[in-house]
Amino acid sequence: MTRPAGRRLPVDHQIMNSVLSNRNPALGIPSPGQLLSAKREEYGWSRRDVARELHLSERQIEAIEQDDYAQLPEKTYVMGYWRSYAQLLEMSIEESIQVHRANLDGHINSLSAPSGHTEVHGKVERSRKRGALLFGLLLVIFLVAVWYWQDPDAGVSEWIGTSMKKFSQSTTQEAQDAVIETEPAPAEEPAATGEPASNGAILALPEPNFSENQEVVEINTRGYEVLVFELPLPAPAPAPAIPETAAGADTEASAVAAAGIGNTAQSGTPEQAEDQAASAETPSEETAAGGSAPAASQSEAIPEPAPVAVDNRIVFHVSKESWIDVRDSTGERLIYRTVNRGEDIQLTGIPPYSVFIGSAEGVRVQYRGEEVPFEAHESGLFARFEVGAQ
Amino acid sequence: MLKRLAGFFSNDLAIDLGTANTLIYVRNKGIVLNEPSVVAIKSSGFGGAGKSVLAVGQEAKLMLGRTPGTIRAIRPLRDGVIADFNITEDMLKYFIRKVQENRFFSSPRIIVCVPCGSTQVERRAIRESAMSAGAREVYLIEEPMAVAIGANLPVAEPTGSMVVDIGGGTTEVGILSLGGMVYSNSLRVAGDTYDDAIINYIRRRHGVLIGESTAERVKQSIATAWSESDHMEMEIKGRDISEGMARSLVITSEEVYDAIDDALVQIVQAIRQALEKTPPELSADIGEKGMVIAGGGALLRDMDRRLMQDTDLPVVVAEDPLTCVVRGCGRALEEMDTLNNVFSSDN
Repeated sequence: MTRPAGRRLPVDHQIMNSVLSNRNPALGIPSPGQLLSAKREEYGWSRRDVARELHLSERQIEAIEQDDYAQLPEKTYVMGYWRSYAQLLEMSIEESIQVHRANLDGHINSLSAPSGHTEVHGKVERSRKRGALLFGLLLVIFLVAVWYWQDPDAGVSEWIGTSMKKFSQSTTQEAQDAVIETEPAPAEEPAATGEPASNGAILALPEPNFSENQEVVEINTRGYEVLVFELPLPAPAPAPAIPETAAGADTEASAVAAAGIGNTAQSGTPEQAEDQAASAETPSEETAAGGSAPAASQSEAIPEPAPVAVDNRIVFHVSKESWIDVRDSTGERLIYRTVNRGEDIQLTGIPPYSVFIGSAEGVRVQYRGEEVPFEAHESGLFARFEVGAQ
Repeated sequence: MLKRLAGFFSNDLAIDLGTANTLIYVRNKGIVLNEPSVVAIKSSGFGGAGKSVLAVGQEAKLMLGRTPGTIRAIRPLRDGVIADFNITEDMLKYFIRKVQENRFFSSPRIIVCVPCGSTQVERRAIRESAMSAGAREVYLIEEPMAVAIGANLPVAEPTGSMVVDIGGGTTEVGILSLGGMVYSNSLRVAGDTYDDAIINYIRRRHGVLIGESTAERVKQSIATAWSESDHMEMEIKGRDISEGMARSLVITSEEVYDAIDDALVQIVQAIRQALEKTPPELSADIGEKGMVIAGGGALLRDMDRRLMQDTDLPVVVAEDPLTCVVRGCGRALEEMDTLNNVFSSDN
């Protein structure tokens, strides 16, 4: 058998037309076997020649030409045979494949009913989405039920109140370490309120009521904000002692303030803080009745919180972003964080202080109001030194 | 529990992690990604210590052989297996992110095909790479099995089927029956070998150095696997080794055939070896029906004629041979319940 020389030829439209006129009425498309058979006969090849070229049997070539798919293996092989056969006959492979595919699909479909695979997949996908939604809904219900089960008596408002209380308690506890700075009170303040001369400082959580008295915002060692407000400075007049009973718990804050202890962070719940603030602003009846009670006796009556001397204050003026690490003599870390330019930080603890500063050139340190020279302790960008040692 | 929940929000994937191209099939959607397995890495910092992925896929492939000193275009897979674990992981992550619509809370099941000749270490590397890329579960399937499923061969029937997958890095030969692999062999000779052979041939014969991309173009345009194929020629440009200047030359299909013939002989030998080791009943089935070839190597001009001539078997080129593997993986993904015995284990 000799193959036609030269390049592959386009589809012979004469043969195609003759085959099309003899199309399979059942399928409505030309039979691929007829196309191939017609082309083979045009070349004058026998089936044996083709079988030898394609390494197939004559029986298989006959089955291909007669569209007898029962004698042929699976669809993949049949399509491959058609492609090889068409290539051998130098027919346009693409056109041939298009014809063959349609014809083969028709036969395959006639042999095996469509499985409806796509439709099933669509249903599966929809049911999957519905399942996901249902599952999400159930999960939310479950979480709400678990939350309610944890505390069934608490309504939402109670729950919020409890949470706030817990938060404020913990915050107040943390704030015990903070130092409250006192400043001379404005002259008009006592006159306006008519309060007894007393200098009180109360630690409080940030509350709008105190905003008008807010003067300094300090950052304590844990990073909480401590609002400090001022009360009128008491006149240093001696006063007779009042009975201990006269000074109730409610007047504790004012008593402490009157004793000049002041500057002390008070611990307690927000309610206590409010009471103390109220008593500081408006003197209690007992205090009013007792006139200017001697502060000394009151200070004996109440447990005295650990006073922190104002003179132990160490101040950092930051002109360039840096970080500061300060510990007092007890080892408590007063600050350990990055500080921003323009920030002024005042700390109080028990001296001597161990100070460690990064980017030391941008930080000035004052202790007891005096500048602390620490250039001698600078090593590169850092400075490590001690302040307040005896 | 969480895995099941994540499954609701994930589209399972089938990945053909090929040496030349990576294809991804998404469940219920079909093939959604077909990109070259190439990653461009940019080095930065002192001594190039810092590395970042600059481009992946088609964009990175354009950079192959055209990069400055700070950029390297890398093919992280060589010979069908992972050559660079970290870069493969980055590439997989990129591709998976690209095809996942719902990136939040997505943890898909992934089927990855592996060469049947890959070692346990190589399979574990592929599995871990896919897990690192965010997979919930990873299943491995051997390439000949994926090809057979993708070509719609009757893998579960008591009849023998033979497949040959000629990819970029490896040629896989497999004989399957009753849902299992009767014989399989992996040969590290494939499309990349053709490229190297063309580069070496032109350097030796014409004294001109060409790049991988040019060699690949020559292969795709005029290369043939059969000595009786029609004559074709092509003009290419490269660097003259002696003069150091750019030079163009015309190369013919006969020259390319000479260049790649050694590689083709090795593939034919692997197929013959498989036929020799096949049980007689299955041999008869294969002799009757023939073998199915797939992969990019099946698109080499007259590859089927060459194999027919050398093996005396009918040879059928699978439909759309480049996507045959990933279609097979995809079908295994869709019909995981019924085809669960086709997955391989790396334990």
